Amino acid sequence: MAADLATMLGIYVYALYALAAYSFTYRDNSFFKFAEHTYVATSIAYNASVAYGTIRFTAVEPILTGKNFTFLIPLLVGALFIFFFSKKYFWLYRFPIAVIAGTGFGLAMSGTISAQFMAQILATIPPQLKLYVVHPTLGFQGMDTLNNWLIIIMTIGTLAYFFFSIPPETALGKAARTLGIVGRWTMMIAFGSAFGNTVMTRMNLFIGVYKNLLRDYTSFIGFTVLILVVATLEGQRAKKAEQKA
Amino acid sequence: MSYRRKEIPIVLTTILAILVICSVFFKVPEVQQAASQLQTWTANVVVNFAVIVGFIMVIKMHKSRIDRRKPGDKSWMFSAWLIGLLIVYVLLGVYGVESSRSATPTRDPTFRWIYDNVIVSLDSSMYSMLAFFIASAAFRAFKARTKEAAVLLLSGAALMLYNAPAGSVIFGPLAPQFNLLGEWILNVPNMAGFRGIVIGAAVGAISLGIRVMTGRERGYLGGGE
Amino acid sequence: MSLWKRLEAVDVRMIYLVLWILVGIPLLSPLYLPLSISPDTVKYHDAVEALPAGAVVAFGMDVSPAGYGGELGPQARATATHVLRKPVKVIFLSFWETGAPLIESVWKDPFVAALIKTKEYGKDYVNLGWIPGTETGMASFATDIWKTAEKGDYKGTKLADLPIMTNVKTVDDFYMLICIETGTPGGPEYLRQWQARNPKLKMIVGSLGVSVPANMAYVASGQYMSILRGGRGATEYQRLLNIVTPADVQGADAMTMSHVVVLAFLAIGNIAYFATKKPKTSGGKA
Repeated sequence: MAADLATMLGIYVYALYALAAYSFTYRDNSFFKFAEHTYVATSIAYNASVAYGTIRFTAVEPILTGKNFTFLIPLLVGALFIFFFSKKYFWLYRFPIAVIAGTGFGLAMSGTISAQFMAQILATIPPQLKLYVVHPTLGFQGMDTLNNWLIIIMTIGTLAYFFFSIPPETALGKAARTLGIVGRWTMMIAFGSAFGNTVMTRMNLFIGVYKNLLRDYTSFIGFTVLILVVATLEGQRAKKAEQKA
Repeated sequence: MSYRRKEIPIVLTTILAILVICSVFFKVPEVQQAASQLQTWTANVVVNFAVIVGFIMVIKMHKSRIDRRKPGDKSWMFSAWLIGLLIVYVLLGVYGVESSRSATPTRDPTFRWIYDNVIVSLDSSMYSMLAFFIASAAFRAFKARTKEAAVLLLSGAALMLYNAPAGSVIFGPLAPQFNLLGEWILNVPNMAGFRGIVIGAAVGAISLGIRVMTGRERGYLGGGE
Repeated sequence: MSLWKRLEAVDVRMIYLVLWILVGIPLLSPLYLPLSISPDTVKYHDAVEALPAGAVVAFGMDVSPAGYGGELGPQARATATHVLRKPVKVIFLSFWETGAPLIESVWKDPFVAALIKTKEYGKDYVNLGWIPGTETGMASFATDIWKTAEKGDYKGTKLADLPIMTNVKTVDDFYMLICIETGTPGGPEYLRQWQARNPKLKMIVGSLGVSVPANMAYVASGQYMSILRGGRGATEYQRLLNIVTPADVQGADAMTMSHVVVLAFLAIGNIAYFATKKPKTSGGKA
């Protein structure tokens, strides 16, 4: 019984917040501001709660049970974050930032070189990318060969588009400019495909919410009417106030 | 001495970055152990303290809005609601962590209920609002004013038809050929363009890392002395 | 004022209303439109199907609630159904704090729940919950899982009390990584910190549609074995596994309708633009 009530209440609360958020597309109104502030509060509180849980059971628990006192070091470093709010000792806040930045940059740089730099370049040149594709039984594959050549030219073209340090009047500069034109057209097609995929994602996000709103028609229609009426009245009041001023 | 205020953190950043890089490229057990310990401490403890700074900043910001309220202006009530809800939900989360004896506050049913019906609802609807703006932009803003824009639009339209589960149906008997065109756009020009961008971004990330390690990039340390 | 000029000046809220109505039609009454299966989805399916018995699979639920509700939820539920059908060990985890509770949401799916009943928690599958630290956390996890997950699983049970974790100490002990990703940290971060350390680690990715164009570079280079392309990929995968529900059909039809609506707006907007565009004068400016 309690579980059914919690589920029903959950459906109503879900509908209220979703429609309050969407009401921004009609006009800015109090319901939207309420939803916006709720979103900020619950998101930050959620993140703070999981952060508390992690610190509590990763670092504090081993110290309290006497298993591992070395966690005092990261706890003290992390505690220096509080000096962000001090004008006199603000510089102490830079130490935990330096720890996070140093570790993060080191990891990102070392991983990027192999995973995103070398791997992608190797995938654009032979032997990984064949310049002449022959199937063992079907023979020469014209379309695959053409595609591979297009990939090489288009990738180099995209990179050449961002070469700004070669003087354009030199032979190399002119070649880079020509390849850059190929790169520009390649990127137009790539960004077009990115746009097409973005439409799919955003529409699917909307469809996901819409499906949940249709779980209960009473809450959907009821809250829609309520929010539209309140938003319209607020709009009319604001217009009157503007006209008076 | 004022040089310690920025220079020492920069040196610390560089030393730690070099330690981590060496642990990846050189198989020295002591270096790898030190780097592993550094990563565990940073990930599990230090990073989580940054969240608490954000928490306090938001409370301070909204408290100052309440303090600066003018007569007749009711917007301070939203800030009061935010601060109240923030504190209540955090206390609920702390209770969830302590009562379940786990690092997971969602083990508490009330905390989980609020996550499922408030956070999920708001997160989904805030991000999905872009669907409406995309639809209105498609009508008002996405015009083929130049040849490049036309190519972008045609490529986008082809991908939209390809992505729609039944999009190729409009081509009737040519549907398989249209699907091949969609595959070709994704696997050849799109892939080549984004490969160039990924390589360029990798070069940018490496050069930014070098700039940070040599102290030329100091923005991450915050302003002031 | 001509029709085209009036169309260009239409209130933007009418456009939103048209979207609400037309996308709502298939959600109320499914149209059962046809669907073809793309090669990438077939490869994704085959990669999971080829998992050998006893393999250790990391299932990364690196999702936001918004991503889960849209495209990644169906992908995650379908992938979990398929993986749990295989005699493998599955370690669920998340590097997104908002993604960790959604692992339990995946388990509540009817198809997944039926399979979970046949498995033993701690022996066949486990949920390590949120691993903090984003990319740094990934690197820490890759080099020493037990130290990074010191807090235990999502219930607080220590790893020593979970038999599945006995021989899983570093990323070298994983056969495959399934990454359902919303953004950062996600696939590229796993490539940098996991696959760079263990080049034999197989990786398949369930991706948001918006990330698909960039992810194709990793698919083409072989770093990802394959990819599920957003909502379309999820729909195709459900068909391959034969786990399509009426709600999924409604979602797929609504996806088609929404794309048709946007295409129609694009077409009308551009026709109106060209119809109302002033011809260039001999002075050169329009």
